[in-house]
Amino acid sequence: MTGDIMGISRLRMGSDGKGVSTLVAFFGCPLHCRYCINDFCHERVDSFGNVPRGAYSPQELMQILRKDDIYYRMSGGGVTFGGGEPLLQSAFIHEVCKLADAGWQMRIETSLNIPWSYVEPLAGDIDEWIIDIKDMDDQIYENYTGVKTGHLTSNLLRLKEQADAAKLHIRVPRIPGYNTEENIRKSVEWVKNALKTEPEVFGYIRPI
Amino acid sequence: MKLVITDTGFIWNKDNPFLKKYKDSVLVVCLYGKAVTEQYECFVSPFAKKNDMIMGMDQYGIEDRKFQRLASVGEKLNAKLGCHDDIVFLTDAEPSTLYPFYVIKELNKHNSLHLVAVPPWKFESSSRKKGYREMLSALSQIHSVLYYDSEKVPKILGYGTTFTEAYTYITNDLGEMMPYFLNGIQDMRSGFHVFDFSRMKYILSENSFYKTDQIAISQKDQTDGNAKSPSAGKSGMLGFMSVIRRPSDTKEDTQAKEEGRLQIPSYLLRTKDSAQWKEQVKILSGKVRLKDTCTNSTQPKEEIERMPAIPDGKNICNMLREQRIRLAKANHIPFQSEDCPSTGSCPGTCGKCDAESEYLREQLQKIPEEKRIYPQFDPEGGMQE
Repeated sequence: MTGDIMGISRLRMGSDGKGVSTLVAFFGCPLHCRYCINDFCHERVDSFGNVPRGAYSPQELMQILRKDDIYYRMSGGGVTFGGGEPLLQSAFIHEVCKLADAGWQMRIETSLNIPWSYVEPLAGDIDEWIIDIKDMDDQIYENYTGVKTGHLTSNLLRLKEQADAAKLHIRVPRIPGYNTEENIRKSVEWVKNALKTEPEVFGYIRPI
Repeated sequence: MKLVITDTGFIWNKDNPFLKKYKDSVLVVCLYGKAVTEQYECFVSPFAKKNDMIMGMDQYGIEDRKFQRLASVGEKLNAKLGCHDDIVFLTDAEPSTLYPFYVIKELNKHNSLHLVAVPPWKFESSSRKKGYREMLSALSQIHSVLYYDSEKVPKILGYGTTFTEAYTYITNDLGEMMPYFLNGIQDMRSGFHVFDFSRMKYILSENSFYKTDQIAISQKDQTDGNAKSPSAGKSGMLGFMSVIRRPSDTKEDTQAKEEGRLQIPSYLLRTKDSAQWKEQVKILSGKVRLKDTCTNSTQPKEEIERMPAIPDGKNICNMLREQRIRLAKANHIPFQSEDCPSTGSCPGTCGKCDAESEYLREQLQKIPEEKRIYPQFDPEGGMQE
C-alpha cells in the first residue's frame, strides 16, 4: 500500500493545530474550489508537470515523521494530513496511524464531502478533525466548489456520533464574492445547533 | 490488503487451506445469492436460484446471470473494498471467479488492483474459454499480474492425470507461493509489475517476460508425457472429460516452447478483435510497460521532502537546539550541542540537527515511558518543566 503524496512539510508551528506538526499533503480532491491554494493536486497522473509526486509506504513516511518525535511530544503537536482531500487515501492514513506514537496528535484537514466509507476507517484514529465546510447553503457551495454538498451534512452528523464532539474543529470561511455575512451567520448557527460546537470563522484570501 | 475470491472457484474457494492464514483479509463474493461460510467475510450477490437459473448449457461472461446480478450491486462491492488499498483478485480457470475483478475494474478509482490468474486449458469448452477471455479485457486497469501457466501442469504430472490431481497440484503450488506474491504486492511501488516465477518476486514490466523453464518442477517423470498417473480415470471435475489429454501444439506453442517463455493459450488470440487481444496477451506475459499508476517516477522524493530555507531559519534552528538541550537536561541524558557555524540560509533544521533529535529519541526510549519528562515546548526560549 502506498500514499500518493505531493508534499511533506516539517516543523510547522501553530499553522496546523497546536504545537509543532508535520503536514503530509496528498494528491487528489473531489472539489474544485475557485480559490484553491493547492490546485495542482488535481493534476493528471500522466501529466508532465513539475509538481513533485511520490508513492510512500506507511513505513517510509514514518521514518520522516519520527524525525520530529521529540518536538511533537514537547509541544502537543503531531501529524496533520492535508491535501488535496486526504480522506481519499484513508486506508493508507489508517496504516500510518497504527504505526504512530500514541503521544502524537493526529489531525486531518478535510472537506468531508466524500462517501462515508472513506471517513469511517479513521473515526477512531484522528484526534482533531479540521473540517472546512465552505458554506451550508447548497447553491453557494456548488458555485464555489463546483460540486454539490453531497455527503457533507450526513458525514458531519455521523462523525459527531462516532468521534467525540471535542475532536471536531469546524471552520466556516468568508469566501469573497461567494457568501455574505448573513450566509456565514446561518452556517455558524447550523453548526452550533446540529454539532453542538463553536465553529471558527476565518477569511479566504482572494487570489490576484 | 484484501483477497477477493468467489464461491465458485476450483482453486480459490472457502476450502483452500492456504487462505486460512490470511483469514481477516479474505472476502468471499458469493455469486449464488447466499453466504457460503462463516469463516470469512462474505459479500452476497442478489442472485436468486429460482428466477435466475437458465436451463441448458452453462453461460459464462457478461451473458451469465450471476455476472449480471453481481454487476447490479457493483457500487456496493466497490464501497466494501474501501480505498487506497491493495485488492488481490485470486482467480482460476472457472470464468466466474473473474466476475468481481471485471465489475470492480470499471468502478475502481482509489485502490490498486492485482490479479492472480490461472487460465482454462486449451481443450476446455468454447463457452468457458470465451467467458474467460471476456473477463480479462481491459487489463490496463491493473497494477500487477501473476499469470500461472496451467499448460505446464499436465506436462509435469503426465497426460492422463485427472482434473482433481491437476487442480490439487496448482492449489498447492500457488499456496506455497502466497507469502512471496503477497509480500511482493505489499512492497510494490508504482508501475506495472508481473510475477517472475524464476525469482519468485514481482518485477517492473519493461520489455521483459517471465520464463517457465525455471519453475520448480515436481519429481514426477516429465519425459513420458503420456504416462498415466496412478489415479487417472477417476471422475474429473469437468463433466464428460475426466482426464487431461495431450493437445496438439500450435505454431505459437512451439515458438513459446523454443524460447522458454510463458505459454499463453492460443484461444486468447483467436477472436475477431485479435488486435486488441494481442495487447492483453502482451500484458499477461509482461511484455509491455503500463503507465505508472501512482507517481511520476522522474520526480525524486527529495523534492517532496525538501525543506526550503526561510528568512528566520537560523532563529528557528537556535530555538529548536535550545529545546533539545532542555529535553536532555530534564531526562539526565548526556548531550552536547554547539552553535551551528553555518551562516548561510537555513530551513530551521539540517542533518546535524536531525541526528541530535534522533539521538535524544533513542535515549528516551531507554527510559520507561512513565519516567520520561517532556518539558513544555516554548518557542520564546523559556522552558517549564
